[in-house]
Amino acid sequence: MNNAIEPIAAEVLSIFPVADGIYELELAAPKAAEQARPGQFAMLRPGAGGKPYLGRPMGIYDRDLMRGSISILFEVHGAGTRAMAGLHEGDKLDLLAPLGNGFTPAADLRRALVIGGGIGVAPLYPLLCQLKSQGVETEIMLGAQCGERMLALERLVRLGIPTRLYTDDGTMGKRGYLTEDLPEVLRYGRFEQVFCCGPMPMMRAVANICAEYRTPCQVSLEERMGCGFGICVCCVVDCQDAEGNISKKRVCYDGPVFDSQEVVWHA
Amino acid sequence: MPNLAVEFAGIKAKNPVFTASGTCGFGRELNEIFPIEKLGGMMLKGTTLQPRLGNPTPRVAEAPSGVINCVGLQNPGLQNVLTEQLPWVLQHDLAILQNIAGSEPAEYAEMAAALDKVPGLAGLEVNISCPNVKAGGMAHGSDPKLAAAVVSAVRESTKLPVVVKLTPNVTDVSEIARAVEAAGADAVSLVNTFLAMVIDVKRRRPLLGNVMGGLSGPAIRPIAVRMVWQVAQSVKIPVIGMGGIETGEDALQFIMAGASAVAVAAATMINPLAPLRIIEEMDAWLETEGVADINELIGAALP
Ligand SMILES: Cc1cc2nc3c(=O)[nH]c(=O)nc-3n(C[C@H](O)[C@H](O)[C@H](O)COP(=O)(O)OP(=O)(O)OC[C@H]3O[C@@H](n4cnc5c(N)ncnc54)[C@H](O)[C@@H]3O)c2cc1C
Ligand SMILES: Cc1cc2nc3c(=O)[nH]c(=O)nc-3n(C[C@H](O)[C@H](O)[C@H](O)COP(=O)(O)O)c2cc1C
Ligand code: FES
Repeated sequence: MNNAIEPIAAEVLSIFPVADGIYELELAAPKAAEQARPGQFAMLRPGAGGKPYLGRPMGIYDRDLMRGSISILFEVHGAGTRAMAGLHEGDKLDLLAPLGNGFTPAADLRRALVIGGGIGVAPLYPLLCQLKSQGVETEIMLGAQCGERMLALERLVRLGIPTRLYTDDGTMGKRGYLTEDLPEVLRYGRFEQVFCCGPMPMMRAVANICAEYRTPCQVSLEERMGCGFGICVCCVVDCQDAEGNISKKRVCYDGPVFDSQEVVWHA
Repeated sequence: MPNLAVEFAGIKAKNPVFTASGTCGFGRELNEIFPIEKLGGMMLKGTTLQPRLGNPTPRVAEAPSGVINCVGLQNPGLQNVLTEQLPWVLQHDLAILQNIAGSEPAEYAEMAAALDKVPGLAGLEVNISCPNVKAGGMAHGSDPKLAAAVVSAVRESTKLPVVVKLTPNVTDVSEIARAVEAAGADAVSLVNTFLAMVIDVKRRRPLLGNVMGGLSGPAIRPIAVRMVWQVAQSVKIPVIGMGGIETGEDALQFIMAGASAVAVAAATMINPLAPLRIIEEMDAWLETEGVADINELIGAALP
């Protein structure tokens, strides 16, 4: 029995903007903080009076065992995330966490490459902490629209992991998409495993390049969710096994992290 | 302690709260969160003869006080349900109804016959009301003759209690209820979801992968209560009520409108513990009001 995913009314411990339209939100959730594994997510329902109705899936960005808290890094899109941005310290919101299966680095992993795009860096930070404590030699490639939207930099600097930065407009790091350099990085990096989270087109490109260089790659996918814990079958992605049989797997319960070879990448 | 146990159509349940078909899978995921034996019962995910992959995504959209889904009966197929799903869930002490859907009466009959032999299964819920599949589904439930044909075929194939799930997307739901009663149904359950859609204005296209979907949740509750009230007065067989139930008092509305049991779908999606909270709230309400037995309240509001 997994009593870990008990729904709670979590108190907002802090909320502040980290870039235009992007916020960091810290919630009191001692049990979730204790149990969360890298790559797991939470369902958040910010509104009063049942608005919005459904929870919003958000990756778990950080946790603080002393404060008994988890943190979320989120970008404002529509009604749900707008309501989240309007939260204040002391407010409460419905929280269901930790959900899903996270990243699964092999116990004997020696060299890993972690690739993040935009807000996708959020669930990668806990993974980077784990890789570091496991003693895995790790490198990071991060992409963003512009320098201001290069997220989590303070935390990454503290980890001291070698990082390559890319922006679409060249305001930080190299100009262009990180996928342009990826073949070269894989050719010379001797990486045994790639971990990736970012926009779908980026993950598709990363998956293709990793397949070409025969490097296993775990991707964290996104799909619209109803429940977040496996009962409604709303959040499916097309998957295929070694024999080519197609199935629809639930991002929330079977994922959100999948082996990139298992995913059918639609154009 | 008030008595919450109910019995309808030969189905015994320790309390009147079921999780509705489509939001409890085959029980495993919910059982990771709470012991499913606390429920009165479960209507398992709608199953078809062959496995179905369901509709393209997005399959879910936000609605005012509710949710629109177009899952399209994704399920592992009858064989898998018989060999992998039912044996597991039937080890638990709660009333299990298997929800079935087909594209013609013969298909429903074949499934009913196969399920007839499953020991411990409490009954069938015959879905003639799914708005999200092309063949069959709601088409069967919108026409009294087609509805009766499906129910007769099922009736002849099984001794299990047959609960027929009705669609609200008709002019007169009582007419359909009477038709399925005459064809041998042991109970009716209602409502399934209301046909609905959302336009994604940015893309200038329908938002859902299947264009239309089914609306459920608190948004539909007053209409569902009205329909249960009407059907309860039109048929002699028991009624199971559902549609937007979130609290003990919501459930009591359905019971007082004539329902012998209730089912919860959308509320479970946003809080897996909602069905348990509903049971507790009903229990507390009865205690406070000095009602010794929930059965005293069934149909209490009917004329
Ligand atoms: C596993 C997972 C982890 C995520 N982690 C983060 C994160 O750490 N930070 C962050 O900013 N965003 C994250 N997202 C995306 C985030 O859930 C959506 O941006 C958010 O739900 C949009 O809600 P809204 O009400 O503002 O937008 P609206 O578009 O108004 O939302 C309407 C509906 O669509 C759903 N929806 C819309 N966009 C998405 C999307 N991209 N993915 C899933 N559902 C969506 C909403 O949940 C809601 O049901 C994650 C998504 C998933 C599936
Ligand atoms: C995601 C989802 C999937 C559903 N799947 C089924 C199904 O397979 N078979 C069925 O008879 N009803 C299905 N339903 C309908 C529900 O069982 C229920 O009748 C309806 O949602 C109204 O209850 P609610 O307002 O509590 O959600 C589904 C509903 C939802 C939200
Ligand atoms: S969101 Fe309900 S199954 Fe994934």
